[in-house]
Amino acid sequence: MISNTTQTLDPQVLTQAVDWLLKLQTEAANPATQAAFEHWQSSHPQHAEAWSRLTQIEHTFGQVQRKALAKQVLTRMDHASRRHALKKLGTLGLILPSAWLGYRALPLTRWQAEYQTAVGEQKHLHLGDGTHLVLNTDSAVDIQYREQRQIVLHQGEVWLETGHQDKRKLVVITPHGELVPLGTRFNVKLTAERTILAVTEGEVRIQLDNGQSSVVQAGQQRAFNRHGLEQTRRAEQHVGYWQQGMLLAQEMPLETLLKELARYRHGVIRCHPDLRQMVVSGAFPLNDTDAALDLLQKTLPVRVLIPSRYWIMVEPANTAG
Amino acid sequence: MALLNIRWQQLHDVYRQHHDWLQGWLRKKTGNSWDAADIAHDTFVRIMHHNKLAQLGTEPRALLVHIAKGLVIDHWRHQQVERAYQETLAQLPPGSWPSAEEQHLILESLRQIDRLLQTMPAQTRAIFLLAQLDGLTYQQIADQLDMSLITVKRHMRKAYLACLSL
Repeated sequence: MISNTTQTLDPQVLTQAVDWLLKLQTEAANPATQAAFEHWQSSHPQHAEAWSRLTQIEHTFGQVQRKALAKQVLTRMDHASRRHALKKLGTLGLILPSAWLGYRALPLTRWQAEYQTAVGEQKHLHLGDGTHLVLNTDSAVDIQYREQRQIVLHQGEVWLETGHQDKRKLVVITPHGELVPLGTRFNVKLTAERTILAVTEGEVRIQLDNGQSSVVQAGQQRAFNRHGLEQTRRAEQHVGYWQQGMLLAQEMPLETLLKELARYRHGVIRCHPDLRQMVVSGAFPLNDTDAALDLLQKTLPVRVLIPSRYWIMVEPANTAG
Repeated sequence: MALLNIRWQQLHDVYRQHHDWLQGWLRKKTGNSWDAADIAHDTFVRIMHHNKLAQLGTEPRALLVHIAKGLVIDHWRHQQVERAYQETLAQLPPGSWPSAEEQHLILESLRQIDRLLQTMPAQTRAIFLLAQLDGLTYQQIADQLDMSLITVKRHMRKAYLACLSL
């Protein structure tokens, strides 16, 4: 990994570090040179830091398996395009590291596992074949990797990013049918009546027991049950964002928003009939639904009544009592 | 709890005031409303996760655009790395494909390396890759490209400095 430290180093120190590296790479080992290098390295914390960054760069290349393949890929790339992109976008963009933290690495083959999440909990699973799976609140899956890779969704919602790697077929199974992804990212949400598939990248094929099948493209969503497929629709924008612990609502009916929030807590949230179609936009925390409800109350003409922790009512603000 | 509330309140307000504008800006730049919606969302996620609310200041749109630009470019680059990788793989006989685990690591390495190479001039990059991935010595590179050893070293020096300056 490349260091993400923000400490700015003196350009002169960086140049010195590079010169040392080139010297050590090209000159025959020599105790005097070695001693001089060690002296330089230990004489200032910035020297040590610059050297450590340089070592990390060497490591990035050193660890590459299949260097010939990597070279072919990089040669194929259009390296000028980043500069073009920058030009197209205006001034320089800052590239921040993605926050992929807290994943669990799991062994690759021949295992079966059952994973569950409690209400309000989310779980990241990083499978050995490169498949990344996030379980949403109150969900359950079985993972069985045998002659084919099977992920069985029993309850709730899962977001998947498939590895393109393992040659065995990957299938996601729900009580309503089977999904065969073709190198992709997608979200599967299971309710009592139907399964809702939303694809954000690549394609996924839906296969029903009755022989019906259909391919869903990136940007589309489609619901189905054992008896048939519903119309393909444009995927909702907030698909998969639950895994960031945040619900981003863009002109969402209040009733839909409350239904979403209710999935992350025990008990019932009731929406007053007059408010069902009220349009809401904003960012709401899913890991603290009390705070989310509080936000609603502060920014909309509504009142949140909490007779008990498990019984919440959202009413128009001007209602008496 | 109180602190969390204030943070969300602030994020919520920024979102309501600037989300649609940012998405419109991204749509114009990327010409793709699906990507625009995605990246606009990611921008707010980034703001929250990296605790950048305090930096929003009086001109929140400046920081929003700054973060969004980085995400757009990252997005394009990742797509390009993956495409180039798939195309390369397609030309190899399936028997010689890396294992599932290897492939995951290779793609990750490729993304990192692509980032390191981004500011290098073409010739410097070619020489740097000959040394790092083809495993040639500087003398071998000099012979192969018919240039002096000192010129090869000058390119290597430039390449390392380009990596360090990121």
